[in-house]
Amino acid sequence: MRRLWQFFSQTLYGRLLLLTSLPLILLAVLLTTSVLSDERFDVQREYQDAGVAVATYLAATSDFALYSGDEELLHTLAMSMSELAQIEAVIFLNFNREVLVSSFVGQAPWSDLLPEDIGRDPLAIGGRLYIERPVVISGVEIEDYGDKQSPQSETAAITGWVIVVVDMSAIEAERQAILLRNGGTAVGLLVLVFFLSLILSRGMLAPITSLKTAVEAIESGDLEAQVEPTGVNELAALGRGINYMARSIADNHRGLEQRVRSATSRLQMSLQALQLKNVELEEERQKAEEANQAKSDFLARMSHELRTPLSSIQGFVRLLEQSGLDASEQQYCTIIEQAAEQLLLLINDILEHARLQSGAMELDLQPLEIIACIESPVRLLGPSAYEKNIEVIIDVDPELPVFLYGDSQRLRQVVSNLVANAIKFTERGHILVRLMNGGVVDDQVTLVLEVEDTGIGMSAQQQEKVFEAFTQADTTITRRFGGTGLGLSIVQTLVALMGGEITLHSEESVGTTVRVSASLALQVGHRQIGQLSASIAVFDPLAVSRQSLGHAIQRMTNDLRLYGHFDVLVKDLVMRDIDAIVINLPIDEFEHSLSDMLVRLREFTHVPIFVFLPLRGLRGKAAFNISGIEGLDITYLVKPWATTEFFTIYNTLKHGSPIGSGAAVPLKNVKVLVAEDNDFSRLLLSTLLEKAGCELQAVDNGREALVLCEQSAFDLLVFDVHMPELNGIDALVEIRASGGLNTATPAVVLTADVLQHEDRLDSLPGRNKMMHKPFDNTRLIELILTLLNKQPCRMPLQAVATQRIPLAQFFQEVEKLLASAVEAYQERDIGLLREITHQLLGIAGVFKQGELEKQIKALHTLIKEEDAWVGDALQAVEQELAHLKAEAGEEGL
Amino acid sequence: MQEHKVNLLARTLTGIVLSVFTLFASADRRSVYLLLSGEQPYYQQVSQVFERALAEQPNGPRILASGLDQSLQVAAGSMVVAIGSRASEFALKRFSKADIISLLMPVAAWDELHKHLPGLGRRAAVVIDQPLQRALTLGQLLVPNARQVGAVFGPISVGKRTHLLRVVQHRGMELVYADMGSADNPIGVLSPLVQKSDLFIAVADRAVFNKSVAKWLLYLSFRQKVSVIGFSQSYAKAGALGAVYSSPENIGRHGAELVMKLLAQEQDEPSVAQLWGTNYPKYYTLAINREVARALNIRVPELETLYREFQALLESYR
Repeated sequence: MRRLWQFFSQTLYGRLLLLTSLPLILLAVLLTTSVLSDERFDVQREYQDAGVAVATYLAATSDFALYSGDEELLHTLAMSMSELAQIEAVIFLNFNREVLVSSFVGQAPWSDLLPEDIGRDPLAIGGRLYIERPVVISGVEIEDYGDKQSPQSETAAITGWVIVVVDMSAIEAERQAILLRNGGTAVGLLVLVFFLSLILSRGMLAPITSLKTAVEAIESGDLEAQVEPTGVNELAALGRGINYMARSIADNHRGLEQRVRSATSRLQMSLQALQLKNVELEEERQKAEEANQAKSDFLARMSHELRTPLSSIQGFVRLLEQSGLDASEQQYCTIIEQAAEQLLLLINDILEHARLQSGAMELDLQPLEIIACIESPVRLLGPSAYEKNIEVIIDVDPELPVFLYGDSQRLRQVVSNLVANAIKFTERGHILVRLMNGGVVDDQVTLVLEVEDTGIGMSAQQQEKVFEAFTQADTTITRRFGGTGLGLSIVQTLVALMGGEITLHSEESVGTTVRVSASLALQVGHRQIGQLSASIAVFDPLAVSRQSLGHAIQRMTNDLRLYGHFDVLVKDLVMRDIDAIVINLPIDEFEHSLSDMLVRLREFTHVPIFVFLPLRGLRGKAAFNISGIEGLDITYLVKPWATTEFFTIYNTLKHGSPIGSGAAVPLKNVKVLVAEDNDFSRLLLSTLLEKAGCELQAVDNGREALVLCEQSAFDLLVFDVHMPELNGIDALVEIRASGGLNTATPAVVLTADVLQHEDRLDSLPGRNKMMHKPFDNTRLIELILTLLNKQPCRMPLQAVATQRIPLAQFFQEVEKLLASAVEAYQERDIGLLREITHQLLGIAGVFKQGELEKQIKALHTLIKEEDAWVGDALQAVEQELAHLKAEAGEEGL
Repeated sequence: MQEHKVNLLARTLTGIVLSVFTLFASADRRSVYLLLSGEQPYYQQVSQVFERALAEQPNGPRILASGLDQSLQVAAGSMVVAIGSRASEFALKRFSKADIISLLMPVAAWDELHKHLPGLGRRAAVVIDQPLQRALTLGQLLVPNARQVGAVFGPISVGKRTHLLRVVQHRGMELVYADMGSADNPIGVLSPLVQKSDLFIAVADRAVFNKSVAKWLLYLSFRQKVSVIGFSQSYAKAGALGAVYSSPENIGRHGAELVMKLLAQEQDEPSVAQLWGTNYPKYYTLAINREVARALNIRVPELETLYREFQALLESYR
């Protein structure tokens, strides 16, 4: 069908055929239809006319027979008429419309015919036509003079009726015959017309078809094809034209081919030259990359090589400081120390930059608590800001999801760089670190970090270059503030690595705001802390920090009141129920005496009071005028504030004071043998267990433990796995096998190796449990209680443990182990390095120094995998330790 | 409407003029008022023949022709000639004191009219009905071998039965007849009668013998090959073998002669007195349907011969 349509609509032949045959076909169809219609009508009329004629004739001739009731005569009349083809039957009715004679065969529709006269018009019932005429008795004129009055009416009288039945089915048969006859003629005519059109079209199109064939041949590339100049004049001229055109095209084609060949050979030559160039360029590029790699390697190596002697310089300067120097010599030492510190920072920056530039860095996405991650570097840098009397405020959006996935180390690096920069260029005012929720889409949080300062600011020109490496806003800045100018460049690279954006807005003498936004994946299924029903009052004269503090406290309660004026707070204390008071005062000025304020508050309320102070303030209470008010039961918290501080508030309000009087001693009188080779770990364990009420004996290797076990019975054995001479598990195996006093004594085996399994313990008799280091105090106590079948304890043991062990001792132990690790690394003693790292891992978590623990874990992993970055990881641990020490130093611990 | 007013005025004026003229003329010449029943040609023909015949007379009366005008006044003792039934009825009603002569009336109709409107004046009529012996004579002439003569009588014509019976018998033939009432089936009556007859005489009786019955008679007689003698020219045309009748000329001529006689002999002579009554037409006309004759295989002589033979035969039985 579609091909037929295409033939008629898209070919000249088809169109011409259509043009010639269509009018003829239409004419033939119209004529046939008209003739058919006329003939069919004529047949019907002929039948009807015949019926009417017969009825009229019979009406005129049957009057006598009807009048005289001569049925024989009537029957003769009826039968004579029934012989006609059109007439099926004749019926005679008398004056009362009763049937006298009927030649009808079958059942006539008497009910329709007899009741009253049908009228002049034929009546169609079923397939028959009934024509009725009245039979009127007519007379003959016998009077010559018509006006003579007649006593009887001379008008014609009806004496009966004649009904003629015409068979219409005969009409239908005749109609079909007509249709067949005329239809056949029409079809014959159409076929004739079609073939005539076909012949006509062919004759007309033959020259055109010849032209088309030639054109198609030319189209398919046969440029030598020629048209036979036949047909009518116009087509012959067209044929000659096509021939001429084909020859021209052929000539042009040959010329073009020649030109293309020539151009192609030229192009090939150019391509060869280009390929040669490319090879040279590739070689150059490889050289450049190698040179760049060499530079990066050189920088990394040099940085490391530079730091080693620098560490010595710093160490010896510190020793020199403690060697009884006079004041001027002490000052020289301080200068050397500061210079060395600056140099170290510079080297670190260069190293970091080199690593970033080499593209070797990849993000280590881990689950993290974003607030703690951001707070940590701010808190580290807080003291240096407070030194300059600059307020440091952390403002966290209460709607920000806390548990995310990210590279915490790099995030800290970003924050650290930005905050350090801000501190560097700010002389007064504040630094606001704002953490905001930029929106959550498909479990991705857009984290927005803003670091705003009230520092010297930058001009537009300076802002343009600020992200370039080794660039500072101004050379005078380098002179005035120091630094390498790598900070922002590193930050920008790190943010780009995270797929984020960094923008900077600055105004000279007003301040600078750096805004970083990055998309972090959301952890699912984390429980949020429950809201408190407590009403908390916040007093802070500075609007910015008051608002930030409010945001932080909003996370734990909705019933929050912010006060900028102390008097209003005091007034509200009388008027309202307030469950706790949080106070933060600006660092640079105090309109009120803090001690006076606290005393006054205590006059009105006994609810917990929390005061945020910088470490410096806590160390020298006099500076904040809080000496002499120890009896007021005030809780002092460290600023810049962090989540841990707010947890203190939260726990106090929820459970009461963390350090209750009369703390429980759940392991009272439990005899314990501790075997641990590391002094610090041993001390830690001893302190914890003694505090829990244990009677304790401690040894530093397995062999000694065996000896003690032979001498006395213990309630519990706590052994480290890694010990010289005899390790913990082997010692336990021997004790269990000896059949001595402690064969069935429950044992806890401690190990820092996460790959260590309990398989060997399972095969030993007695109750043996393994715990991984760093252990959680509470869990260890609970485990011991379980082993001893005692009731679990609810006491906050961590505070107890840390209270007894000085932080300095912890640092000292870590430093010692770290120094050994560096030595082992330099000597490439991997076994020793792994052992030391293992020990480091064991004690790192004790003081909840999360970042340090994380760094050590990273180091542990790198050593296991014998990664090239072990040196860097060691440095990172050293750096973290230095930060922690610096912080602790502020506290004077 | 205007035309109607003009006609009314013209008639009134004519009436007045006639009345005045009558007053002055009555002394020496009698006037005869002539009234026509309508505009039909046969009334006109009767009128024309009547007037012409009177005009030919030396002392002919003055003819005053008029339509049936309600304003017409007739002087007492005047003679009024009415042509046709309507004119006769008009004259009898309007001019009861005048002498009235009716022309071209069926005898039964005239008798009926005369009985209901007697009046003070004298009455005479020339009717169109023929004496039955004329029809019988023509039948005898055309069908000489006829022995059985058929006839049907209705309530009006039943009085003629005896007369015809006598005439037929007188001529040596037998009358086969039947009486037919209005309730009788004419075919039932006619069919056996025709079968028995050699010749059928149609007796005018408008009570039952209408056009249809005439047709049945003609049809049956044709089927039985029986000759029918009718009483009008129309009967002959319709299929009767022949007919004896009086034409308008016959009646007009008879009427003129009657008027002249009545005017001339006004004295109380017995012959004249007889004339004041019903007069059968003196003159007659014979009509032959030659097609029927051919169908019945009857030879009919030329008309002149026929008249002569007819007259001779008629005279022979007188």
